[in-house]
Amino acid sequence: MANDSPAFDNLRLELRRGCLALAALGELVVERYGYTLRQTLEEHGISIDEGTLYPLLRRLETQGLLVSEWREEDRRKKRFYLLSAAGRRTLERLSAEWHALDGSLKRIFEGETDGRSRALSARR
Amino acid sequence: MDVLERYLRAVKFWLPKSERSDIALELSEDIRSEIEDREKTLGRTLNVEEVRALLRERGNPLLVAERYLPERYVIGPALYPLYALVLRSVMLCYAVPWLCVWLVARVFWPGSHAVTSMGPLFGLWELVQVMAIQFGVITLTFAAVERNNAAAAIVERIVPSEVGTLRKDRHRIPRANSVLEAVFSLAFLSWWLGIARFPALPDTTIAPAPFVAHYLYWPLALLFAAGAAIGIVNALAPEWSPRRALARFCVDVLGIVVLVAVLAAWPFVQVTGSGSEIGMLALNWSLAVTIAIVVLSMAVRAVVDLRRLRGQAAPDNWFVLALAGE
Repeated sequence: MANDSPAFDNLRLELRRGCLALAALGELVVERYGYTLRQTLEEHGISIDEGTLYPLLRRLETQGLLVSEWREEDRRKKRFYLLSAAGRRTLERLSAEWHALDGSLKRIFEGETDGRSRALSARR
Repeated sequence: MDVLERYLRAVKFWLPKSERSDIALELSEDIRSEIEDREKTLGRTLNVEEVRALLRERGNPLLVAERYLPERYVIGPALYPLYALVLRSVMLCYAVPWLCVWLVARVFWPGSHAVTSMGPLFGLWELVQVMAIQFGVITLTFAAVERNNAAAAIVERIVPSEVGTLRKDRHRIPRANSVLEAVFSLAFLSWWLGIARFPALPDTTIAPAPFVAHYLYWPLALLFAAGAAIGIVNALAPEWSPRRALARFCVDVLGIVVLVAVLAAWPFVQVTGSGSEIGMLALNWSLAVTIAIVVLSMAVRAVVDLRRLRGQAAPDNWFVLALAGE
């Protein structure tokens, strides 16, 4: 069991990587700058450090899914991000994909639970 | 905010020029927002130590900058298996034989030097240097291919039929190997027994050294006669059997003993005539390398044959099979 932790960490990282992009796209239906986006995500239970968020935002912008604009707010220049038209379409498709995946996983886990209870009752 | 400025400057140093200011400005804004938030919670401004602690939480500037950079490889995943294969092959075909030659030279002729394609080998350090140069040249070549984005094209161009056929039956003896073994053994045997003459340089004679001619004449003749016989039988009936494995095991053991004795009898051949001194040295060293490779191959083959005798198949390892010449 001692080696479980690195394996779990790696799998968790892989699992989260795709989810973070989806979460960021979901939050950027409304225009936000990096720091507020990070806070909003955290309020929704998704913590993301700035070293992951900003490169992710840049990647999404390069892919044409986000648009950004530098503006002054509270006497400081901030970069605001918003979903582009392509980003909205992608978000819709990804959400559908996510729901389908979620449903499948639920069925798998429920099936596993049923199977386990059946195995336990058979043993008794 | 001197600390923050220094931190941002350190991050900027590692960033690509085109994006440097943009990323630094956004990072600066994020850090300032966090400082403001903490100040609001505490109801006072942060001191230098607290700002330092906050920056420490963000991490080393190099690592922060690295996250903004695209993934780069000296040798990418598409090319890496090929790179590893070439490195292994060079180790097998160049470094291992020279290491053997160097070891033999150290044991039998402490004052002599082996001359590799990269220069003379005086000690183990020179051998390490030669290997480092080989490693460097191969790595640089592959890195250049990777840099020109040619890796994917090369890998895609290789189709399975070009890679080689699948090894279907481990009990089958490759006919080409048997024919080669028979031809080589017969050619050497006919030269050794004086049946055939091979062309030589004018005014130059090449003859085995007295020790080899006197003590190892018949053992060498027997070794190559047995090699030729095994090659012919294997070519006609290419299936391993315990008896066949035993025969080759015996020949390999005999071969190791005889060839090590040849190695110990330096120089193996004597050259007389014009340029004989350099010619003799070059010929003896090239023979030493060849014999060392053959001895190594025979040793591995003997182990493989022992496995066959015990009813086990040859190991499914390309390195071992290549060494055994299978």
